[in-house]
Amino acid sequence: MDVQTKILTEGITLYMLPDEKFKNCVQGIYFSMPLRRETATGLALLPKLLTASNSRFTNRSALHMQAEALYGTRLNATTGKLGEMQTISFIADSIADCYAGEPLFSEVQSLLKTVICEPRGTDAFEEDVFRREKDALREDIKSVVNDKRRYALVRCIEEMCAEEPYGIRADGTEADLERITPSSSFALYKEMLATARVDIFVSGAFDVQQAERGAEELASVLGPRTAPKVEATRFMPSEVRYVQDRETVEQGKLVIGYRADVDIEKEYAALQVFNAIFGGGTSSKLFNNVREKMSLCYYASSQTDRPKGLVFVQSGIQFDKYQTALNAICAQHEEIKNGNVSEAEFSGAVQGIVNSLRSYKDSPATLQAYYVRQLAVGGNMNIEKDIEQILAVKPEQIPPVARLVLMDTVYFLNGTGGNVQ
Amino acid sequence: MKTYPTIGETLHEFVHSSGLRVYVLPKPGFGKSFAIYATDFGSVNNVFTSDGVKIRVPDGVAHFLEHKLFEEEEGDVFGKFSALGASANAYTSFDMTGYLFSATANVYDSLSVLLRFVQNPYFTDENVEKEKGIIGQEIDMYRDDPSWNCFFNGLRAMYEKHPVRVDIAGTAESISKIDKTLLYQCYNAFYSPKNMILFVGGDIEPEAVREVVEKEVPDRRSPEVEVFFPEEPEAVAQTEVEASFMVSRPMLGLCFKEKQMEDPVYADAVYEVLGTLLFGKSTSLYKELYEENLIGDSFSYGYSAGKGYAFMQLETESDNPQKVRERVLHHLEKVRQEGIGNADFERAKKSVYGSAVRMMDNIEQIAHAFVPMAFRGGDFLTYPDVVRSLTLNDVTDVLQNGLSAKNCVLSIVKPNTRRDEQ
Repeated sequence: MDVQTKILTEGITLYMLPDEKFKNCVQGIYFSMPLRRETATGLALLPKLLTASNSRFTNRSALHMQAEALYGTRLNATTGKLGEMQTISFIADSIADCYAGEPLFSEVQSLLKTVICEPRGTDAFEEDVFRREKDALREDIKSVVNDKRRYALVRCIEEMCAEEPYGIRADGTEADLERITPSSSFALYKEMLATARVDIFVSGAFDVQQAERGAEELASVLGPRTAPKVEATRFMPSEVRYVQDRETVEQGKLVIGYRADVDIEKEYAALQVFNAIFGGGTSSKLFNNVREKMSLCYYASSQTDRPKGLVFVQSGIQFDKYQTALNAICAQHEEIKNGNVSEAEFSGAVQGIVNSLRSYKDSPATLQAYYVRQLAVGGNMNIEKDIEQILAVKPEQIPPVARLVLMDTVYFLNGTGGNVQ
Repeated sequence: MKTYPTIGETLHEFVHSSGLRVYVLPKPGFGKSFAIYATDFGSVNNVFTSDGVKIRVPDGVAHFLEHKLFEEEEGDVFGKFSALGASANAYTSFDMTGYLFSATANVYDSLSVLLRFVQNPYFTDENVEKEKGIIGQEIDMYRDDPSWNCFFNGLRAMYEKHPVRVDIAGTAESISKIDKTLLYQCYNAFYSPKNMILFVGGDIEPEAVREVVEKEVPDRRSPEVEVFFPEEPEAVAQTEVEASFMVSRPMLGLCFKEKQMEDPVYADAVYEVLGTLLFGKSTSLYKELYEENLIGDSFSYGYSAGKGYAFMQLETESDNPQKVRERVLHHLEKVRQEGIGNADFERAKKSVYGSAVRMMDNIEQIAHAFVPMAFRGGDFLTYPDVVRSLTLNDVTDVLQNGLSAKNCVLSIVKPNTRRDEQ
């Protein structure tokens, strides 16, 4: 399934994935900017401000009312990081026109345009709206502690990548938030509008011509821009760092961060297969040994971050099992380095990845998210090619890749009474 | 074969000679197929007859059994699925246990593996003991999850006796009492085909599914299991509960203990539309609470009902949970007095209908909604039509007779440590 691509103007591209089998349509507009400490918090505030008040809807409830009237259209305005880019995304998920019995697509298109292009104010956001949204973002930033598994991963990344843009939280920091004013925020908004790389995605059931017309209109309002390509910085660890936090928790959370010293463009498929063998699911070594054989945990899994070439292992364990679990995870890594990978482990890993990639095609939203990630790394804009690359990985490629996956940071979220070495 | 013109779906169903109910939803053009094989046995089924004798089992046994079924004499069944390129999993809810897989190839072979392993228990003293470490960590993981605890504390305050108040996975103490004899007892009571449902969706042939079922499902008849529930008072057990966790801002759940309705599809539809009208982000309630910074972005509601329980829950975060309760109850009273406007009602219906249609692209979501509803005698695929046919009277009725202030519980999770501002 090829993505239909159209460059609308310099720096603004339309990607379309029409498929009539769906009952949904997802329209997404993505602004990508370099991830920088000076602007991260300010950019994180923009999706909130823009959905809180604009020329047509003076408050959040009015906008929600319109979304309800548009057959429960789900409008999501958020920020996140892809490698060392910060993405500000506006995504609307709605049912296809034929199930609504009225022209929904164009209404949703215009709703997105209003949210993005028509805030109230000319050189500053409204004072009261600004204050409220700032409060809301502050709560969001603080709430990172609520989900312990995620918090441990965020803390590991923060420690491991303290000197790199990747270590910056895309939702910002409380300290930076205090420095932002209604007018500095508006200036940043103008900068985003004028300079960010813009990708417009439409996937699901929709009319291609209609999608093109709307995108062209938006592109003509935004105008051309030269958005520089941001390559993620990469460097390798000199020694392993051990970091520990103590909090009032019931279960210890272990996160191990690795850096893969491989050519990401050429060897990412092999790294993905390595990751799946290591901790990618129920056929993986971590699941079968650390969980099933040793009964140390309920979950022990690994994941990759492609643009940065990072691998993270996560597990929830008893506090006093820290060293045992760490040794067990390292031992499984060693097994792969030494080529002790069974045929079943290898093919289970390959099939597992292929199964997920094929599944992406069944959801307009997931498929869109996948291609947005591909764009960030200059990857294939054809999912079939990715599948081919995974299927082409040979078992003998795995141990050399495993040896290039270097441990960087071991993070442990420990209890307040627990004893670990 | 049943067709649903509104949503453009067709469902094939048949009952196997064993009594197993089979549903097949073809999704032409989809790459992934998904199957759930489920039994009508969940965490609330803790008192039942085993070989004619009434027994009480330890908390968490249905969930424990779910974990252990994956073990076979020749090893782990996960390996068989991954050899076929399929991905398997399972879950236990209050009312049921479901075993599932998703696959983009070898669907019928994976279906054989699914049917076979669920029908083939293999419990040993050693493998049961080993699982206690794994489940112990699963329980600990939930003990650190503030929203899960906020939710469960609310349940325990609403329900004095009904086992919906019991943690699905049990506790370290309750699972320590589980052994292989007990697991076989539960298995024999609940895992007979006539107590089960199979749902398969994807680009598949209903006839081919039938063939696999005929081949793999034995015509096994077992005695009818009788289940027992304690008498539950109409009133809530406690009106306010509090716990402390490592959270940034107090979380709260406002839970309304509701009367069960006969028709589960209608109940879900009417409560969902009413929820949109009362607690949606388009309401004056949300607008005011948000603008006063009493609450933040998160403000969600849901209706749940099952074997002998029904409740509506509103979840949010606030520095002043009591104040939020006061405002919500006041808002409810105001809407009761002033009534719901027709334009608002029609808009809420559109919104709920649209969200339901949106689900229809997702086979997993359909299956997860369809199976529990089928156990309760409802057909989830009629849900969008039921939503469309609701009248203002339907929702007004529930508003006048339910969501009452006296059956409302406030569950609070407050921060346990003072965290620095940065």
